[in-house]
Amino acid sequence: MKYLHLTLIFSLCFGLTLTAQTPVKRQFDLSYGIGQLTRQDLVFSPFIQRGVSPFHIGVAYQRDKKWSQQWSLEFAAISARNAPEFEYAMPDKPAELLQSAPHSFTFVDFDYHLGKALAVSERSIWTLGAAFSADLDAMNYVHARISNFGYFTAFDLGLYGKWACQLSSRQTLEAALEVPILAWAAHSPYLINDDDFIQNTASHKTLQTLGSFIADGQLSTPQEYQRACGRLLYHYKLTHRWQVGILYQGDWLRYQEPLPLRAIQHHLSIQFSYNF
Amino acid sequence: MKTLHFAAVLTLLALAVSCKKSFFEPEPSNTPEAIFENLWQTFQRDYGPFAERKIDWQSVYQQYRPMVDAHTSDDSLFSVLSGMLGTLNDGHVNLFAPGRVAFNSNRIRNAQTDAELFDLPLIKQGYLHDKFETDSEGGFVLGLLEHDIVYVHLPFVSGNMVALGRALDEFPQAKGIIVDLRHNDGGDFTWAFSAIGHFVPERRMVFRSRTKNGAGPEDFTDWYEWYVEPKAPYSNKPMVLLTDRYTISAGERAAMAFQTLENCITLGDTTCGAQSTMVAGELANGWKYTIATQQTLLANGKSYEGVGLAPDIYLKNDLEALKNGRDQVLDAAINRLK
Repeated sequence: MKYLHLTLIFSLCFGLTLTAQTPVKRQFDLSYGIGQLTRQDLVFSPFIQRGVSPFHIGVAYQRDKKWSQQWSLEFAAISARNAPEFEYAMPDKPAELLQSAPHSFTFVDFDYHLGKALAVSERSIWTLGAAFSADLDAMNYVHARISNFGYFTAFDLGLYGKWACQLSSRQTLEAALEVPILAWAAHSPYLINDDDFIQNTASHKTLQTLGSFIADGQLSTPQEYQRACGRLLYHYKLTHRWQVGILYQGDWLRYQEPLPLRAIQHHLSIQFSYNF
Repeated sequence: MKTLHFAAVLTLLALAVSCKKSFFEPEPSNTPEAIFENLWQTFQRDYGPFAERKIDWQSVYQQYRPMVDAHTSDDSLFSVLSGMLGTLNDGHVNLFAPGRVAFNSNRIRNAQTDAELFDLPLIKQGYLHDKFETDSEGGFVLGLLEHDIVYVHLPFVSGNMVALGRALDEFPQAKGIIVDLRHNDGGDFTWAFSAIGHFVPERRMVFRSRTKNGAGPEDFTDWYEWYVEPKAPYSNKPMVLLTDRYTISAGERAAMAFQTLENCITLGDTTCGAQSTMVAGELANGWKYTIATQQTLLANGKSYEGVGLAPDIYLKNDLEALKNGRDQVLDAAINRLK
């Protein structure tokens, strides 16, 4: 049944891609910036972890004709903590001081948006459509000598809306919001290292392990999985090909299984765009 | 219209910021009493082997809870929490705090009793004459002893377990193999099971385990059976497995798998008796702890949690002999195989 659900989600996404029209306007974006994470995952800790990272990178490709399509891929790595690190020693080497380390989080997000301009005025365009998103979160909760690996993955389908406003001949402002309505979500088990988890990692092959984690997920409705991803982009046109911009992205996540996961991410990036 | 759009965006941002507090679950408080309660309740909910260790956690609460109040200092709190966790006598239970030596709940490990009775440098120099292979992490020591006997020491259980396969490849003429798991600190036992596959002619069940998955005392996952699967090349060379009180966790699970082999005897001391998996957590003041979350039964249906796996032949090194360059446990293993 799980495989049926996964197949259905992927088929829908592939179908969305096929319905797209031949492009006439294309844009390639590259963004780099800082990120801020606030995350509470009760599988690992009842405490809210906070961290800032100078490493958030994204690439996107957009093509517009009758339909607007965008593919984007983002990567972020953040260290977060709920308390300062400290020095400690182990009973077998009491004179040797060791340093505790923060928890580490790695995020890989792929998004596909398919939209159609529904309201076009002289200076603004409202676009509405569908979105597919694949999010992979890998966590390493480090507790002095011991660390626990964990994961959260979600493949979701949802609604997408964008408002673009021409502020002047060179300046544009865009705001977009994506809200999933159906997801295939997988999260670390209740006590992290149960037998299923160990069996999933027993191949010692990254892709096989990832596939096993994903297959252990479940179909989630907005009752268990709530998410909103927003973005605000200010663009300045340098030439008829090049634009530079400031991009803010926010991601709010609530997931309930097997224990509550709450996360808020903010990213502020500089974005370079090339039109062709 | 433009103003309206801006106002909508700003309102959304303001809402996002103001909802942040209620967005998250309440966190445990950072007071000595709340920290005690949080740690005790976490163990009450998630600790797996209470029954095997015959611990009445409620009575532990009655004993230790009165020792903490709002004015308890960090030193006293560390002492009380260590005392409470010490009742479990579990090598998988630790407490870490700033500027302190970590507390291990297992009395032998915490006091480092007889830890000096294993001396790897002595084996490297005195028995292998500094001719051995290792890896960049010091994950194994592999060499040939006198009488054509292969020696492999494994300080933890991970990718280093491939040293067992290398032993077969590199020393085909060997009469036997000594696998030394003394002071093995554990790791991921599936690496061990994969490597031990070289020594089984057919699939063998080693142990079954289950993990806490809820707050109730009987909230566990279903039992999960773990097997060793045969793997080429197959070897039935005679083997001696060495264990001691510091063989723990995945090291013990590896020992369980070796004990299913007809041509393998175990020599040394009883293992630590902590065979569960372990996860870690944190307290409101930043201290860290670890907790055992499973129950484990050997293929014979018995639990050795808190007891340890006894060797076929019990033997302990003598400190004087060790100082004179003799590892009596290793000597006995060599005598069995030569």
